[in-house]
Amino acid sequence: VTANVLALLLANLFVLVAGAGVLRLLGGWYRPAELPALLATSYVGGLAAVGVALQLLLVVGVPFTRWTFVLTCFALALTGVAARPAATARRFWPLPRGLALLAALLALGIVGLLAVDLWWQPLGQWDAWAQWTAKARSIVLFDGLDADVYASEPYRRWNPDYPTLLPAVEAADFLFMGEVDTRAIHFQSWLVLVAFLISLPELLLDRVRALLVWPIVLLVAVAPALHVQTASAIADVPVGVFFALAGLCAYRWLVDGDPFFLRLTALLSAGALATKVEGRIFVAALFVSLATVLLVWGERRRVLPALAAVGAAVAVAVVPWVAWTSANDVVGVFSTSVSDALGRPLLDQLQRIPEAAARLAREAVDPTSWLLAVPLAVAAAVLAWRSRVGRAGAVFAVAAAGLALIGLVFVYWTTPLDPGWHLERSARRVVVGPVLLLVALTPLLLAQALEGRGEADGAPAGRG
Amino acid sequence: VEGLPEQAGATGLAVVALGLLLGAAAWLFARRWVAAGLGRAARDPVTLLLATTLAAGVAAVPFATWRMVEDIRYTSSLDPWLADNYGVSVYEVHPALYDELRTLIPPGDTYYLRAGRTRDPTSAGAFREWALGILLPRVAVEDPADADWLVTLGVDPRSVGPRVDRVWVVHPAGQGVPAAYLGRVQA
Repeated sequence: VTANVLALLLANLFVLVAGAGVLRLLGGWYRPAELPALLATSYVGGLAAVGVALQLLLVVGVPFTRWTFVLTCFALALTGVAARPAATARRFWPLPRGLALLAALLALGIVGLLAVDLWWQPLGQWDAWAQWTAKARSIVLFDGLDADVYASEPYRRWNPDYPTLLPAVEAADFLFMGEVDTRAIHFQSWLVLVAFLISLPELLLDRVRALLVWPIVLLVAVAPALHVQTASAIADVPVGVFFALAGLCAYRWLVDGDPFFLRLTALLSAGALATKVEGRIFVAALFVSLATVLLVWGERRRVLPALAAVGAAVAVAVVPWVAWTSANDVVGVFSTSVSDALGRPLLDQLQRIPEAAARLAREAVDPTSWLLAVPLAVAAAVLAWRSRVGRAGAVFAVAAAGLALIGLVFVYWTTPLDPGWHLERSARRVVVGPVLLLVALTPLLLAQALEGRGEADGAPAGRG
Repeated sequence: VEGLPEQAGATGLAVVALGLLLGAAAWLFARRWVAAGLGRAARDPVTLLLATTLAAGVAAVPFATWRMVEDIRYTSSLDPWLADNYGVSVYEVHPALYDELRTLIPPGDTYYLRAGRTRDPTSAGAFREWALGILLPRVAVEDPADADWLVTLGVDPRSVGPRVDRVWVVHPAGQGVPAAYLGRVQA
């Protein structure tokens, strides 16, 4: 396992290099001294960029080899050359002190122990071995996507129409290992989790004080559900991380107006769209909420850039993949188009709506899964709303998470499967995205709750 | 995850109680420190919310640690071969049968899968779905007439349809799971 974990880390080093280049292009940093302030974010951005690029290469039929992966990463890294210097240099975020340091150290200890746990972890989750890793294995063995295999009846159980970011990244890991090591692959999930936890201070501490950030990082780091989902090595944590950080960046763009954050929102949204079908629901919820807040708060001119961002994400992450699956008659065992769903006797199954809503809500607020993350985030949104200056942010946070959950309820309402079985099998997993979004936005909501006291301006722009 | 205790038990409950005590202490101290750090009153809603966040995080540390240690104790004791084949083994399908199949079926050949009745229907599903990944680059086909091989669980390959020139028992019956067979379709 040791050699394979090192090989996986090497593959992900290329992802980091790619992400650093892409984030430079997007305006995140310019001078090399600025890069450490966005290292984890660069990794997550790199994962989105590399994953989407690999999906595109798979669709056009480029042979999937170690060199394909390395050259893709270098090509993405080189895009950073085209960057222009920013008006203000990014500084490394202040290291935590006092209570913030205590929270950071406890979080560090827990994710360190999780790494040891994953070191021994067998691939036991059904969907992990039956879908995600099986698809990665097929990409390695067939040097890419074999349309005949993907379109054939036996392999419909793989849900081959699901987007292929995670199988492509895992396939690259396996190519670096030289074998399909189903234990070492857990470190891919661990890297995503660690990058998420460090991205929170990276994306927040230039605006929010450390005391508002590190306790939240600790709370999410010790959440049992996140450990279970990370150890499951399936796509719910990656899609949740992309969605949550995209939401955080959208919020930063909403309140600060820095175009870097909108560009990063688009990149991370593309990552979410290329990871799971639920990513489409999440990204739609995100941009509908963003556009609504901009319209309500009289910022119509900013709606167009937001639409352009989501359009770009859909264009690279959804359109080519859907075109390939349609052209090759690739459908999954769970596939239902919206028209199929709407063609079902939906009025006869209205009782599914409260059942699904109640189940999803219960999973999200279950203290044995997420501790107090969701109630505290909702309380933070209420405080931000009461502060007036944080109203736009509060509406955005609640609307984005709420619409994401409504979208998931729609899926359970229209599912051709037994809804009870479907909920039992997936409800615990699909709430990861909305919960992580609320967690990521909590420090900003609290900051606005503090900053807005006594201020009458409710506009979203400005540093609050 | 695979070795997480199903019930907390006495040790687990003691760890939970310890966590709650630590969390309560953290809440009392953190409230003052957070108030001082933010320049707010100890009863300010933001102060209370942050202190609660920190206390909840601290309270969960002992239980999270205990769960992971228990998990490590179980998973680190697994035989490496079993760990690599863990996914299907928990559904009472013996993974050794796939080693046998990989030895007998040449890479690139096609096979047809059929599973009969098992005590737990999930076993039949696991038998089929594990094969789809682990037997690659051998490819499953929908129609047995297109297959070079017939891979069955609890079904005699000779009863599937195509003429079979040889049958292997790749794993005997046991634990409520019937025997697994491989049939070579006559060329």
